[in-house]
Amino acid sequence: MSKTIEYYTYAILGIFLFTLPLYLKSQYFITIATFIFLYAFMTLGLRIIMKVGEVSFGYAAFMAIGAYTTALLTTKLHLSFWVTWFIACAITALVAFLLGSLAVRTKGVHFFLVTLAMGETIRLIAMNWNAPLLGGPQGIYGIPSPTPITLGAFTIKFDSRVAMYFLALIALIMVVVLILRLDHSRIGRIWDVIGQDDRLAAVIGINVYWHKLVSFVLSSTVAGLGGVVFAHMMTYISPYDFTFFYTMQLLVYIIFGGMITFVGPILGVTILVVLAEALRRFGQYELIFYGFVIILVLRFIPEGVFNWISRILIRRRQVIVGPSRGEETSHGYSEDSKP
Amino acid sequence: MVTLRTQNLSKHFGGLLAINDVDLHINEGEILGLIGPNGSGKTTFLNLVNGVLKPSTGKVIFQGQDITGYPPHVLTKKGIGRTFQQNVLFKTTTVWENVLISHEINYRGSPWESFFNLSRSRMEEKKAQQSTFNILEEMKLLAWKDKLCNDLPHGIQRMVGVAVATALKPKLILLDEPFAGMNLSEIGNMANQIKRLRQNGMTILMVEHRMKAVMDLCDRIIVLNFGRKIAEGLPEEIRNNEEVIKAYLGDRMHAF
Repeated sequence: MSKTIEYYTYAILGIFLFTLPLYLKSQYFITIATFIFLYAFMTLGLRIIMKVGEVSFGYAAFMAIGAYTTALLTTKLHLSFWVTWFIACAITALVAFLLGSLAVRTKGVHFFLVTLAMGETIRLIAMNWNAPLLGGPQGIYGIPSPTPITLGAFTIKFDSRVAMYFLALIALIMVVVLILRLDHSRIGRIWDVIGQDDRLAAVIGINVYWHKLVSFVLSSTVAGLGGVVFAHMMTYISPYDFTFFYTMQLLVYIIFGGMITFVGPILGVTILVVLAEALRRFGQYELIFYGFVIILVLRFIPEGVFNWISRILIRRRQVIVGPSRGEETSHGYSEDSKP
Repeated sequence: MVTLRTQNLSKHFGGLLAINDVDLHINEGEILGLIGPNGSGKTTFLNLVNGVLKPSTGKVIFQGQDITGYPPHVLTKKGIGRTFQQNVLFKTTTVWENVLISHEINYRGSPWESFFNLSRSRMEEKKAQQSTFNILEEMKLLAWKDKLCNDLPHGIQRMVGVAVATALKPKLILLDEPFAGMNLSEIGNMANQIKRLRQNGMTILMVEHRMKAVMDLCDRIIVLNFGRKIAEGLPEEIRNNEEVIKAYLGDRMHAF
């Protein structure tokens, strides 16, 4: 796909999403769309650490840190949302830096276990420590919606579902821009090769420890941002919202959609969330269908739905137009000699 | 001038002495061969020099600086490149990407400049692409540049391994069995490449089993057996050294 087509696609998609509440009056659909945006950028955040070849199972706990920070700051100290979301992200990043500097010394299964233990510890602290402050298993109630912004004569209010829709959409766009820059810069390239072989990466002069730590911090900060949006959207949080299964769910979205490009996870989230809603009327059989679809995808298209679709599209175009020349080389040098 | 010197270098894994008190030096611009029977500690020695393993005792001195115990990525920045005994490459990326990413340490400025798309980073990127093109052209790998490393034949993968190491622009390059599993024409090709690296001013430390290639290429040879240095000298001297023959073939006296 050429650059201009790509930009046009983004622009059209952006306009469509920003004007969606105008012709979609149903509160129900707006809420689902909001959840899709939330899950979408959360999965993209998890993908950041997966680029360096690790899966952080403490991901949901960092979401909890973000959610609890903003909840405490807005309910106890009555700070404005526009201050607290930033503080919450910063605190999440700090905690991620401290825990991550220990966690990224391990890799593979050990990394999985270490982050799982860290995540559950954080969750249990929220559950059992200082109940008057953190609310224990009941969590925190009555988290206010973001404070209105006054721009001269205008006042923008954020107490409706549509407002949360836009908030989640803006957060998603922020994360997508971050991911796009990551994927298209040397940083992304470095992280990709660390994921493939960290031994060779060290030998070609890459500081594997540092890069893994940065990606862990960045990934956890996105989780913190997710926690902030989640807390203000639900107005109620409890330790049960941030279990290990939440991370599992995000992981399923990524595997389902495919993680080579950033579109894959977003597509995975959209399909699976919509599917889960559509299956809701089957009641208890919902999970069976859901599991069945996931098994089918894993068995027949292990590279993910998005890569499967794009492969079919490319093949079809080649059948019609013939193999494209020189387009597959992304760099300036194209040689016709092939072995 | 001496590029690399080791002093009383030892490494033990538990009770096993893998490297025992090895002293050696490599002169600038030299091809030094390191040979020895299987399990004599040749690869362990490379790992000690390269920082993958930390020595138990002793020192490694590179260009007059004590580098004992430095991690691999720091040593690479100081100018030590290496290849591996197996085909260690980024297997699911193309040959082009493999060589391009290896220019990472030669960029001026941090990789985050590229994240913000600064103009200096774009210029550096262009330079790296030009250099990648030159390296692939010189090693006759251009025809393979868009293939994934997984799909390449063994001989080509070995060559890509050397190309990746050259892209680091090292002063000292450690080759771990560059001829492993190659046929004769591939060996000839690789030997030419190694000679070319030396002409470009690199010092080479080579671990190898193929005696003919070692005798032809190397200026000096060092023989290890059970982690100890048992001989050092010119290829002809090594060929006729009684102790080396004993290490490889067993004791002539006890043969009957």
